[in-house]
Amino acid sequence: MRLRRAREAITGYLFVLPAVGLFGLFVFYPLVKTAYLGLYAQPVFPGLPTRYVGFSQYSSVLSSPEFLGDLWRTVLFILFTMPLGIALGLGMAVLAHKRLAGIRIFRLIFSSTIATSVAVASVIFFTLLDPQVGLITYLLGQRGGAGLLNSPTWALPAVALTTIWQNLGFTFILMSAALQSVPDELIEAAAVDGSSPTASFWRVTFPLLSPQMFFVGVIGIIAGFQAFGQIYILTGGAGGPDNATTTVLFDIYTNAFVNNNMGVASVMAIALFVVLLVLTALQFLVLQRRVFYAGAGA
Amino acid sequence: MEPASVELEHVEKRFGSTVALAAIDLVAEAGEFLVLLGPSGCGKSTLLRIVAGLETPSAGTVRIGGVDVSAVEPRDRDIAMVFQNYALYPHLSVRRNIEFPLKARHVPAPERRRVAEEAAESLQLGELLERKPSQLSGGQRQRVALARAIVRHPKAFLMDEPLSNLDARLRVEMRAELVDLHLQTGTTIIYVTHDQVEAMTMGTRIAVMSNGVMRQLGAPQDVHDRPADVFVAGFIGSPPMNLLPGEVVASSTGGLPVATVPGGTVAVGAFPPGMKVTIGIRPEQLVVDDAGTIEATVSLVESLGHERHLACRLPDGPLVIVRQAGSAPVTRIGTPVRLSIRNGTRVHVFDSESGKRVDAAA
Repeated sequence: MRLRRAREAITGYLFVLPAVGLFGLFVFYPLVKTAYLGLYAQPVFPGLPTRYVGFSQYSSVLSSPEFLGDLWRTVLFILFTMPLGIALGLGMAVLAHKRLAGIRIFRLIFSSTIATSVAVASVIFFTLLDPQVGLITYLLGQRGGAGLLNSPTWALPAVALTTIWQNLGFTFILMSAALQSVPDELIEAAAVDGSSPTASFWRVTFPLLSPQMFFVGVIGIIAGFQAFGQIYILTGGAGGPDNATTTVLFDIYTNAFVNNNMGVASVMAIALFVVLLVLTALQFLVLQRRVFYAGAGA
Repeated sequence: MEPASVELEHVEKRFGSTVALAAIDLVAEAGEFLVLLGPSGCGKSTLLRIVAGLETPSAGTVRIGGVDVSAVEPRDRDIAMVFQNYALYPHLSVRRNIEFPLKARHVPAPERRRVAEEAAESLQLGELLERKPSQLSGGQRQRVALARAIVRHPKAFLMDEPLSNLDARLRVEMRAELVDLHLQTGTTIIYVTHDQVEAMTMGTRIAVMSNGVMRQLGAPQDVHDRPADVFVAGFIGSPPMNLLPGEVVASSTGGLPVATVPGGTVAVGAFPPGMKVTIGIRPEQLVVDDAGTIEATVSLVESLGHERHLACRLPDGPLVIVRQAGSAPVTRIGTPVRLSIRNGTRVHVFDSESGKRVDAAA
C-alpha cells in the first residue's frame, strides 16, 4: 500500500517536472539573479568590476527622488488610463447590449482595437498627435505649437489616451460578457418593481458587474505598471520631455540598457515585482470572496 | 390599493410567422384568483408577460382597473410579479430586496423599513432579514419573492410558475399559504402553472390554454366535470381521462343509443347513429364488473396504498386506466376482466373531427 502511494507520488512529480524545470530556468532563476544583482553597485566608469554594497543600494534607490518620481508618474498614468478605460468600455458595452438590427457590426468595431498591437496603436496616435498635421492637435486648436507629446504637462495624458484606445476593445469584450451574465429576469423584476431603466442599471446591473469591473481594474493597474511600448515609440525612446513619461518600468529599461546600470535596474525591477505580486494576491483574495454572486439569483 | 380587474381584449402575439397567442379575450375580475393552465409552450407565460408589460402584444388591448395600459411601461402599471426563479437581487439582503419596490417609488426610509418588516413578519422571514438570497433555501427565497410582491399592495399579482422549483412537500405548503395570502389581501391574482393540481386547488377560475388558444374558462369543478374539448379532458385529472375512438349505433335492446369502442359498447346520449365520436371516461368512472360491456385484460397494476390503478388493454390495443379503492379485491396481471361505467355517471362525448364536447350531460 505504502509502496503504491510512493510510486504514485513519484509519477506525479515526474509529470510536473518539465513545468517546474521551465519555470525554474526562465522565471525563478532570473528572479533570484535580479535580486542578487541589486546587491552590486555599478562603478562610475564603465568597464570596471561591480562592487558589493549589500542592501544599501536597495534603500538608496528606493528612496531616491528619481524612483519616487517614476512611481508617482506610474500612479498618475494608471489614474488616467484605468478608470476612464473601464467607464468607456462599460458605456460602449451597454450601448451594444441592445437588441437592434446591425448591432453586430458595432460590436465588431468596438472590439476591433484588440487586434491592434502597441506599435500600431502608437504609430496611429503619433500621427494623430503630430504638431503640424495631427487631427487631435487640430481639434484641440494646438496647431503650430510644440505638440502635446513635447509638453511636460500633456505628454503623459497623451500616452494615456493611446493606451486607453488600445485597451478599449479588451475592456469592451469583458464588459459585454459581464452584461450578458446578468439575468434578464432581474432587470424585468426591477422594471415591474417600479424602477426606471437608469435606476435598474445603477441598482441592479452595476452592482452585479462589480466582480468583473474589479478584475478589469486590477488588469488595468498591472498593465499600467507594465506599459512600455507606447511610451518608447511616442517619445522616441526618451521617456521625455524632461522625464514626464518615465514610469518605473521605463526607468528600469533606461538604467539597464541605456545607462548600463544593472544594479539600479535590478532594485527597481524587484520593487515592481513586489508591487505586482501584492496586487495579484489582493485580486485573488477579493475575487474569491465574491464568487457567490454567480447563480445566486436562481 | 383596491384590487383591480385585468382585461385582455383580442390580445395577439406573433414572433415572426409563429403565432404565440391567437386573439385571447379574458377578464380577471377584481379580487379573483385566476389560473392560466396549460402545457409548456402554450403561451400562458407570454400572456402574463403581456399583462406585466414585459412583452408587447402584436394586437389587442390590455386594461388594468378599466384603464387601457397597452402603452404604459411596466413600472407604471402598479402590478407585482413573482418569477419562476424568484429573481431576487443577489447583491441585496432580504430586507433590501423587500424594500426595493418601495425605494423605487421613493417611499421614505422609516416607512419603508416598517412596511418591509411587516411583510417579512407575515411570511415568517423576520429572522432572515439580514441574509443574502444565496444563504436561503428554495422555500425561503420563494417567501422573499412573495414579500417583495405584497409589500406595496399592488393592483394585481402576477405569478409565473412560482412553485415549480420547490420540492413536493413544500409545494403543498406554499399552495395553502398562497390561498391564505389571497384571502387576506383580496388582491387580484393571475397565476400561471402547468400543474393541474395547483390550478384545481387554488384557482377561483381556470383558463386552460394550448397552442396559443384559450380552450376553456371556468370554475375548477366545472372544467373537471365538463371539459369543453378533448384537450382539456386529457389535461385535467390524474390519472388522465381515457379517450377512446367510437361510433354511435342504435341500441339492440331499444334503450339509450350506445357507442362502440374497442372491446365493447358504452351508453351515450341521443346521437345520430353512424356519428364518429371520441368517448371520454374518467378512470374513477370505470369499474370491474362481470356484467360489464367492455372486454379487457389487466396488463399493469399500480398500488398507491389508498387507491389502485389498473391499466387494462382493450382488444384493439389501446390501454384504459381504471381507478379503484385500495380496499377493492386485487386483480392479477393477465386476468381478463369486463368493465362497466359506474352507476349514475355518464361518459363524455366529443366530436371526433373537431374534438369539441357534444353531449349535454354532466
